[in-house]
Amino acid sequence: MYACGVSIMKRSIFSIAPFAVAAVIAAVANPAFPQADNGPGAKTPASVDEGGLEGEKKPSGSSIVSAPPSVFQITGKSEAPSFKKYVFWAYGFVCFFLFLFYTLCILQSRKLEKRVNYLQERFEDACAAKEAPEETGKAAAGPPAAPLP
Amino acid sequence: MRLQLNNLLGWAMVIVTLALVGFWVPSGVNQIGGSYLIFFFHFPSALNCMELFLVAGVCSILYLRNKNPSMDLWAVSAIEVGMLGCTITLVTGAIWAMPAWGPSDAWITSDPRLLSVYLMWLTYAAYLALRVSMEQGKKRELFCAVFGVLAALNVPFVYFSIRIFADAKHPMEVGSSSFAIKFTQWFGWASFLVLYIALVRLRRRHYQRCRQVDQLQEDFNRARI
Repeated sequence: MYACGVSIMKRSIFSIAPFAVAAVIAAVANPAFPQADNGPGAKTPASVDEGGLEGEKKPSGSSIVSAPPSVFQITGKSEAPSFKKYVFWAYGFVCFFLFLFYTLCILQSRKLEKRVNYLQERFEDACAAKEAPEETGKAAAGPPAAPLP
Repeated sequence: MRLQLNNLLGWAMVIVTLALVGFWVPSGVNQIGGSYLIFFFHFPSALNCMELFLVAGVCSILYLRNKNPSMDLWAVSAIEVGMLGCTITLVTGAIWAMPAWGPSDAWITSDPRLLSVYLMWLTYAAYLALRVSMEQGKKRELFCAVFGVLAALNVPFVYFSIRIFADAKHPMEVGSSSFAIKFTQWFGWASFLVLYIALVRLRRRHYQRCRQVDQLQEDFNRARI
């Protein structure tokens, strides 16, 4: 019964999870994703010159990026925006997801451990109970009477 | 190493990585500014998920060779944790692409690397779907092992997709002359590796217990209790 329940739960989780995560990825990466950080006239978040991030300093010079640089060159804080919101969401997501997976592993493992212990005990008890009537039956009949001298 | 110690070490290293990102590495580079900080979780997840998928492939080959059920358990555990890493890679990559490339180029189909990683993710999702849709037994183990080997063949293609397709925007390698950036990058990789190994061991223990439960239920049926 329990195993059946776990199996159904696992099946439903595994069948829904890929679609759920695909939907999240699609929502995050979709071009229509709302850009709360940008000003009203901004074309893209990359074109920080035009829009600029809320509460962040506008960068000097052109900073439209067609591809991320393959070599990171350190610049001062004033020269580039911090994109704090994106960093916060990315790190928040990673930590949340790792923690969720870890907690799920631990909980599932503990439940199964209890189940294994319970089944083992029950099995031993049942085996002992099955053997006991045979022995008691033999005991009730008693040993064969010893012949009188 | 004991599992609890492995877990503890993994989490401690991830927290140290977070601290290094927050307090040590420079807060901005080139034009992409502070968004590059996402790299310190994006890169380790990506590299480690590919490693785990390759490990799963090797385990599947070993299963096919020796028919050892333990190898099947290692393979599925590695794939589950690899899926976790792949999901983290996809989502953090998409979030990073928003400020770095702009929203129109952050879409999965806009770059060969993004598309190939997404296809890899779907392939392994299909592996897990196949696994839960079949009854436990030798047949399922065999099917999953063959699928695991075939899916692992895709991993090198994902890695080299940038070299294969000339129009790729995703850089092949990212480097820096800064010691702080280099150190944090590889420390992050090591911390995620330790954590993922702990998670793989946890998942393997879970599947081992599942197998124990099934075994006990079979014993019940056999003994007709």
